[in-house]
Amino acid sequence: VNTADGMPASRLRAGDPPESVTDDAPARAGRLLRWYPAAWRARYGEEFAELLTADIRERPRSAARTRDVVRGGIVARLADAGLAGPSALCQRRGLGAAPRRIGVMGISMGGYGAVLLAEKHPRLVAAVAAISPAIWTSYAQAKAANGVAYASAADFAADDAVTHAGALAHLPVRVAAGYADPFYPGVRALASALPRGAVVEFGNGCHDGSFFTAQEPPSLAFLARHLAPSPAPRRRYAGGGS
Amino acid sequence: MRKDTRKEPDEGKALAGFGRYAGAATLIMSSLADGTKHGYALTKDIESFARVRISPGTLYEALGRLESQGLIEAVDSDDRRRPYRLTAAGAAALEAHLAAQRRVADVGLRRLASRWGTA
Repeated sequence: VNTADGMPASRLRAGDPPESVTDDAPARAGRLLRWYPAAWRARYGEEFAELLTADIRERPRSAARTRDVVRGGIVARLADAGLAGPSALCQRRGLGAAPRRIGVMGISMGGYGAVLLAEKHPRLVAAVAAISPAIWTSYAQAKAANGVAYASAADFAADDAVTHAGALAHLPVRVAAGYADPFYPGVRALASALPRGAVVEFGNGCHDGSFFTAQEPPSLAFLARHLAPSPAPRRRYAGGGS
Repeated sequence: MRKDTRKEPDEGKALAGFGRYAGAATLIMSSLADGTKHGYALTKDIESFARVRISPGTLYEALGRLESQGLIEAVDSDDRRRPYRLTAAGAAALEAHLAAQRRVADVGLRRLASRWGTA
């Protein structure tokens, strides 16, 4: 059922050419390793080179191995350069730089998504507004409320909007939530982690349409103000944006 | 524990996003199910029980993804070549994935037996 990206073991020949007197496998492994970016090599380089060396000794000539390693290296380089994901997509479409700067706004899970997108791509996003964002304070709480929201505790930690809030240091941010919203504790935690100057709007209301709808005009106005062709002086934003 | 069917659909999704890595991910996690292993030991073990050889590039792409998803983790070691182990989330995801595969295998084998007289 599983055909891993490799050759069947049965095709390996036991009697492959004997090792030559000068073993060039480590050097060849080292050359293949250069397909991978430095950060990747710092983490996996040593063990990967060991595996490659053993593989080269067992199959001295394998075009399949070379292709596989080159492809893996390219994938790692694309990820390392941020060329996989939203940045690359927007770049191709000419979005994210003046005059086509990006403002993100979202409600509930979308509000969390808007904040997270800005945190992960602070140079791509020019301003963010979140209405009643769905932010849990711990993986245990998230799992109890929605078992499929995160695959694991590590997954939660990787996409925790609160602990990544520092990335928003130079971004205009507006967050609104109702006191009776079940996510209020999470939004409260986010608010205290947000950089100074962020606009935080708490008011009466819960996690429902009437609160969302009331927050849409001020959220859009906030984005419009920060996406305007001639941006307002920085001091105005730092003053609270009310 | 509540109903024992509860976990399956959720945990099964953990591997759903793996696409072409799903085969390699299943082999790696199955190999780690009986203890920690480093990269080279993983390929040898997988070769012996699954009769496939995972190429190094594919193995490390899958290891990186599994690690970033929290399904496996690198064990602290004095050696810079750190062994990997299955996490609790990984064990649950693997169990659900293999149970789903078993259902497919059972149906396929049963139908083969009745219509083609094999198995």
